[in-house]
Amino acid sequence: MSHPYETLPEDRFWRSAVAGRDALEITGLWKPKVRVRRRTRIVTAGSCFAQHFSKALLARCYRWLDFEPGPAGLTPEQRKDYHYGTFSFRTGNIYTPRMLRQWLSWALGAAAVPEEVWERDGRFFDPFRPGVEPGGFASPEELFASRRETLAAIAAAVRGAQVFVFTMGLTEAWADRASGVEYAVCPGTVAGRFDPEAHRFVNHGFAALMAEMRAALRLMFRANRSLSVLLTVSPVPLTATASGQHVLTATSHSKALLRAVAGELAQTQARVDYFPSYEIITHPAYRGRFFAPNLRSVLPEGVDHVMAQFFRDQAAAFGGEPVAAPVAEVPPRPAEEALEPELTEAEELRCEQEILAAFAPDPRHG
Amino acid sequence: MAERLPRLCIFGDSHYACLRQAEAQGLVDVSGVDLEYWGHVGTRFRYLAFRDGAIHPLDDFTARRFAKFNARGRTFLPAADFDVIHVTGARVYVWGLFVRLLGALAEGPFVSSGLARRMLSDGLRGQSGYRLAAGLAATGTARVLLSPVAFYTAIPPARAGAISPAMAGLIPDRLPRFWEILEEVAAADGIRLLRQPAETVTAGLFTDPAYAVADHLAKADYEHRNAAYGALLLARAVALARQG
Repeated sequence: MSHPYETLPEDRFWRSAVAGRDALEITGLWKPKVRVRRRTRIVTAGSCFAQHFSKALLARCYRWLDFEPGPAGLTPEQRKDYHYGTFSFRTGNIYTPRMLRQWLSWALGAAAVPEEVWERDGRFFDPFRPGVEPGGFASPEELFASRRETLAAIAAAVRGAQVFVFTMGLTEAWADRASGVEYAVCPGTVAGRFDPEAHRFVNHGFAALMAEMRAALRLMFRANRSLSVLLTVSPVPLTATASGQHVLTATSHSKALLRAVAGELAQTQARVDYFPSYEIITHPAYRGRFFAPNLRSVLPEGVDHVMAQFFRDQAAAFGGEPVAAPVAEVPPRPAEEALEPELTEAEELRCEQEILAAFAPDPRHG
Repeated sequence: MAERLPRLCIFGDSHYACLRQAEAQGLVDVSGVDLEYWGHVGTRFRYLAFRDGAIHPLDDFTARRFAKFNARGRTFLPAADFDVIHVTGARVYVWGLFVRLLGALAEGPFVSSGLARRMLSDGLRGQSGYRLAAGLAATGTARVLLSPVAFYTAIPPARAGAISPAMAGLIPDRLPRFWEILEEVAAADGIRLLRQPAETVTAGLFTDPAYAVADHLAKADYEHRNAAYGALLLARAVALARQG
C-alpha cells in the first residue's frame, strides 16, 4: 500500500460520494452503532425536529414509547394542542443540553425541582414548558401536579428505553441569575415578565455544552445501564438571536457548536451515536431543497428523506429488515362521533313508536 | 289588531315525544304560546343540514318524515319563523362526555382543568345535533334552548359497570362544574343549555325510573322518557317563550 487513501471505499471521496451523484442518491451518511429493530424501545425528546422521529417510527410500526400519553379518548387536535404524543413525555421542546440536564436531574431526583411559576391574567405557566398547557394552569398547585406527572414520565422513559433520541436545537437561552436555572423561553414572551435584574442571557460555548451533555448522559446511564443515546442536531435555524450577531451567523455558530458536541460525544462514548439529519437537510449538496420558502421550516419531503436514510443505513449496517415504508395513516375516528351511537333497527323502531304514540292521539296531526 | 303569540318550536329526535305527551296529557299549560313540533327519529338527523337560516332535510324522504309530524306540514325549519326553538335530544349526548371525563379524573393520568374544559367543549360542539342548534342560534332570530339526551334510565345492564366507585365519588363535586362548563360553551354559541332536571337524576349519572317510558324494562328501553319528564322540559320552554 503506497498511502492510506488508496484502498478507501468510494464514500470517502467527495467526487464519487457527493459531486458525482444526485443528492437524493447520496447514501451511507450514517454508520449506526446500535441496531434499531421494530421491537427496540425508543423514546424521543429535544428540539421541535425531534417530533418527526416519533412520527416516522410510528408510521413504520416501530416501538416508539409515549410515557405520558394523556387521558384516553383525546382527539388528535386535543393531543396536539396539549402536547401529548409530541415527545415521549410532556416537556415541550428541550432546546439545550442544559435544559435536558435540568429535566433529568429533577426527574431522577438529582436536584430539587424549582417552585418558580409564571403568572399572566390569573393563569399560571410552567417556566420550563410554558407552551404545553394552552391558556395556562388554573393554579400553581395544578401546575405542580401536572409537572410531577411529567417528571415521573421522564424517569420511566429513561429507565424503560433502549434508545433515547435527543435532538439538540439551540445554544442560546435565558436563565435565572440567582439559581442559574434555564428557562424554555425568554421570560415575558409566552408568559412571565422579563426582569433584567433577575434574568440573564446565556449563549453556551463548546465546553459548557460538553459539560452539560456529559452530565445528562451520566444521569441517564446511571439510571439505565443498557441505554443507548442517539444524538441529532435540529436543522431548523434560530427564529431570533439575542447574541448581538446577525441571526444567520448566530445560527451557524449555534449549530456548529452543537454538531461538534454531538460528534465529539459519538466519537468518545461507545453508547452515544450521532445521526446526521442536520447535514441531510442543511448541506449545500442538497441545495436547500428541503426547506420551505421561509428557509426555516423543513418540508415533509425533507423529513421523509431523513427518515428514509435512517432506516436505509440501519439496514445497510445490520441487514435483516429491509427499508421500511411508512404505513398509510388511518385517521382516528373523532371521539365525539362515538358519542352519537348508531341505532339498531330495534332501537329505531322504538323511536318511531315513541313518536307515533305521542302524536297519534291528537287529531291535528292525523 | 290582536298581539301575536310567542312562537315556540320543539325540535328534536324521538326524545321530543315526551314533551308532546306532556302537552297531550295536559301536564303543562301551553296557553299563550303558539306551539309547534318538528322532529323525527335520530337516524334521520344525519340527513339534516343547516343552511340559509334554516335546517333543511337533504332528501325528499326525510323532508316528508319531518313534515308528517308537524301541524303545518313544514318540510324545513327556518329559525326566523319562531321566537324560541327548544332543541331537545337531537342526538346531543352528554352522558358519554361525563363518563369519559370522570374516568380520566378518577383513574388518571392527570387531567388539568383546562383540558377537562376542552374535552367537554369539543365533545359538545363536535356533535351534529349541537351544530344544528348552533346554526339556528347564529341567525340571531329565534332564542335557542338545548336540552341534551337525558341520562340512561337506572341502570341498563350494559352500563352497569360504567361508573366505578372512584368515579361515583367524584360526581357530587364535579358534575355541577361539568354542567356549568357546557352552559358556558353553549352560551358562547348563543344557546341556552338546559341541564337535566335535578329531581330526575338518581345514582349520580342516571335517570330515575319514575321518569322512564312505560314498561321500559320489558322493552329494554333505557333512553326514552315519559310525559312527566317531558312536562319538566316543556314547562321551562313555555315559561321562557312567554317571557318574550
